[in-house]
Amino acid sequence: MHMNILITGGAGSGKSTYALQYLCKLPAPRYYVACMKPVGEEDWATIARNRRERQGLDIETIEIYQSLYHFHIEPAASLVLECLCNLLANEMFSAQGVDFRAAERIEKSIMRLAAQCENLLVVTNEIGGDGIDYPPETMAYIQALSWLNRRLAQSFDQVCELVCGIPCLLKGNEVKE
Amino acid sequence: MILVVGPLGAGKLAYVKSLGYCDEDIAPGILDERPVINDVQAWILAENASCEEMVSRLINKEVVICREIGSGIIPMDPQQAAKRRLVGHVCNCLAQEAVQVIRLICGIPKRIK
Repeated sequence: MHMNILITGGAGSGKSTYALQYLCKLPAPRYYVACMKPVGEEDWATIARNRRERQGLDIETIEIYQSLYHFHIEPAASLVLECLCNLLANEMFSAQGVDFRAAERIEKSIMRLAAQCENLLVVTNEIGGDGIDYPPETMAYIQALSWLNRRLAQSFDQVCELVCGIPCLLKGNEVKE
Repeated sequence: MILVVGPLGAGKLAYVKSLGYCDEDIAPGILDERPVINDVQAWILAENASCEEMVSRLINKEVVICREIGSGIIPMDPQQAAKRRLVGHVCNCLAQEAVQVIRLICGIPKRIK
């Protein structure tokens, strides 16, 4: 059964764990598309923690930091893409400045990927919830990610928000196991 | 234990009071003998202990109230970012042990466990 799922939730709410548990119930081949370009010690620690979680699960890891459009995958594949926040930041900000078309490009790439593979689980985050006014480029990033979230939520079959590790369905039907 | 979560001003405290608790029962961000701890996120952020240790100290409360703080821009300071994630992880563990998990949005309590 073909399924596209958007998984959202705050920091440390259990999105990754849920996405991986879900992926493991799906038939192989399974892929984990990692989008976080590590820059500091903390990032490496996160990556190491995520890698430990995937150990022995028969999931192949692919690292894609940007230009998702060039990526191809076999039709039977199920994949987790984590996470939209990193992919957008990598695509939007560079030494050349801010690329305001990045979100549109990512949306097209993800919809194309969704059409290619069997199951696609995209991990994202709600980042507009801290009530802080940031510099214009950060505000543009928040707007862009929120736009992407809305667009994907519209096209995807299921939207799930993780709260305290509990999956709360925002769109779609519960999957019978 | 009942875990009550929700963003700032969502009605968490009013909900807990509707369960029969009064101001004297509710400790503001500190751990003492009172049956309810409010703003547990503030306690977690200030406390220097592991996730497991904090969970074990909170588990015997009747009600734990946590403001959701993980839905903003990731803090630039990696330590702050890690602390913010820790609040999430403590809540995940508390939710597993809780009899009920209630989430407040617009003053509406939704039982998610």
